[in-house]
Amino acid sequence: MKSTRRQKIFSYVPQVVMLWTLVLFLSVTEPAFLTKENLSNIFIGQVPFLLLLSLGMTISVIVRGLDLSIGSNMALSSCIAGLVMKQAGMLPGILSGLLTGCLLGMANGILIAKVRLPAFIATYGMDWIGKGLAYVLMMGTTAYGFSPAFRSLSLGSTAGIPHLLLICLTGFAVVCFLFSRTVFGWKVYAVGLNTQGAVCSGVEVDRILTGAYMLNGLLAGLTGLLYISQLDAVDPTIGEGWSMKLIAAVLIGGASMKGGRATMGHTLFGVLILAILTNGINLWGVSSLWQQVVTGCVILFSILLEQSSRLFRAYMEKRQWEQKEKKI
Amino acid sequence: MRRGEKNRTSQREGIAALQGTIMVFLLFSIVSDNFFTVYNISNVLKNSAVLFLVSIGITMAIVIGCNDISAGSVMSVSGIITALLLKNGFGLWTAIAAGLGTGILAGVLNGILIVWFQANFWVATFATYSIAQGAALVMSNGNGIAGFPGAFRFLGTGRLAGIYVIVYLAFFMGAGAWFLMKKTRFGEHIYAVGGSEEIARLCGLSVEKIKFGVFVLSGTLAGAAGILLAAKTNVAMPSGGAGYEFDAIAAAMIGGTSLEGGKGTIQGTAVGVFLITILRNGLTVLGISSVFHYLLIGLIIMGVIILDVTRTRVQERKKGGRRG
Repeated sequence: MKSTRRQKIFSYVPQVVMLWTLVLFLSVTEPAFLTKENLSNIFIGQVPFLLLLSLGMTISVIVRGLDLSIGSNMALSSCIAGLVMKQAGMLPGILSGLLTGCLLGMANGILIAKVRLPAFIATYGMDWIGKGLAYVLMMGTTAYGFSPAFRSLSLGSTAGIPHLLLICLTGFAVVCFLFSRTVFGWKVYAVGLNTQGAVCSGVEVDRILTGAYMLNGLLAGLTGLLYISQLDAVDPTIGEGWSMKLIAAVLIGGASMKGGRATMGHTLFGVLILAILTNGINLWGVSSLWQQVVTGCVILFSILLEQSSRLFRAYMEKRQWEQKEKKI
Repeated sequence: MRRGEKNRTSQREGIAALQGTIMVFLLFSIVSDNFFTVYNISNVLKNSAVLFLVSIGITMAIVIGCNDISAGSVMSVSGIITALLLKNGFGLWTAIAAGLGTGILAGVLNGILIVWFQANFWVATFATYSIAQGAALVMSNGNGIAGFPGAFRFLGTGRLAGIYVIVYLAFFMGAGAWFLMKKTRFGEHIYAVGGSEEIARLCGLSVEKIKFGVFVLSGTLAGAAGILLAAKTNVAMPSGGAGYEFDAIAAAMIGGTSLEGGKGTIQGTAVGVFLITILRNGLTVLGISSVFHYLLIGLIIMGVIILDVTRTRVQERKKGGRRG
């Protein structure tokens, strides 16, 4: 956290280079890439959902966890929102969706902070429970055909800017502000960097952890709402396979799994790289079955890159020490 | 003295899990007429055999202080590879060797990431998980592969003296794993590394080699489980093993394996495997709609894990109090 402005800017270099190479390569080799349709497909069909969810994933990476329940959280909150919306109108529906997301996040937070389960196990269990609840809720019922007002959340546009992009950029700005300018954000970073130290300096670790996971859940709920607004129907399977993409996006953004080192700006680049890479794979005509392999390889590559640079740095430091000792 | 005490507490835990399993067993036998039948019991045994194989590997990984969430999708991919080779006319043993080889490869990948690159074991096994899952999808084109030759099916559904072959296999593997963990130097070293990696290293153990070995073993067992799953159901699905890792982690924890590492036994895991299989089977036998299964199993397993973690913590607090 104590890096200078120059270090901060330089830390973006690998991501910018990767993104720039990818864009350049695709625009040269694929004439279909730089068309209006394709770009709107990337920036309205992919990036908003991916970005909002990845922000949540980044929060959980900051506190040294990974959230595997984001996909089913999204499914569950959108199912509840859809059902309530059909019965009671738009506003209760939206509120219930956000509340569900928040509650599921809180459950994760309590399991991790109070019961002290490893984040992986807690969120993995929650993934099954959320998915199961969504299936049970939707058994024998469906909800489709929402009001035009709700649908304009994702389809409408103000002053030429699509609402979806507007909402996701606002969300991004708010989360960025929270994590760089407020006490809550600093405390979350403190907990992620050094939990023991945070306890000693009077941070309420349990509450901060729960809060962080609640915010994560809230983002998942919001994304679920936007998703059914675009789809115009509710389906318990909508969140499946998302967590892998999100982890890939966060890792390729250069986040370290050590905790307390991920930033929202890096995640933005990770999301852009992943979205454009996925789009490129589609344009090249590769079967969509390959997407998961590519996502997996992206995760693997990011781990290898991070770990080898860390090991290299450790090796150099050790050598410097040895040389100093020799002089003495 | 300390060592004896530790053994006794872990024995007590194993007995508690066994009592729970017997209670659940009796409960289902009373509630449902179809549960305590020869057909159903042999079904339970058959199903628990596959889960037991995965659980052995995961127990070892947890005892050494890590975890392996890639096991489920390694099962899927090894099942798919075996099925593809069988379908394309390769021999039985070639297909099985290829399936096992896939498991070994996945274990080696985990080992390389965790030991050489010192990556966090959650993330490393997650990377293997996603690659294996993707590979299973690509190789099978997203569809299940069904219909195998009789010799291969015999592995999963054949019987010897009234008991399924797969149960014998699981039993011998379990006995082998128990011997490995309790009676060999390698097993002792696994417990030592799990107890404290630092101390094990200071004692001169090569922690890296032991960890690598455990992950390769875990991958191999997952591969074997995937092959047997395909043989048992007569179909290899690209998501056939999904969720097995979760069940296996839960089974190990029910059997008294602690996520902190250094504690856990194979026989305890066997009890956990029985409990989970009986629960799954009982829900089906009782005629509860499969829609509820995700939710109920998720809730039950999470409940068991939470109970286990809080119980160990209370015990530790008591112990600390006595010492203080």
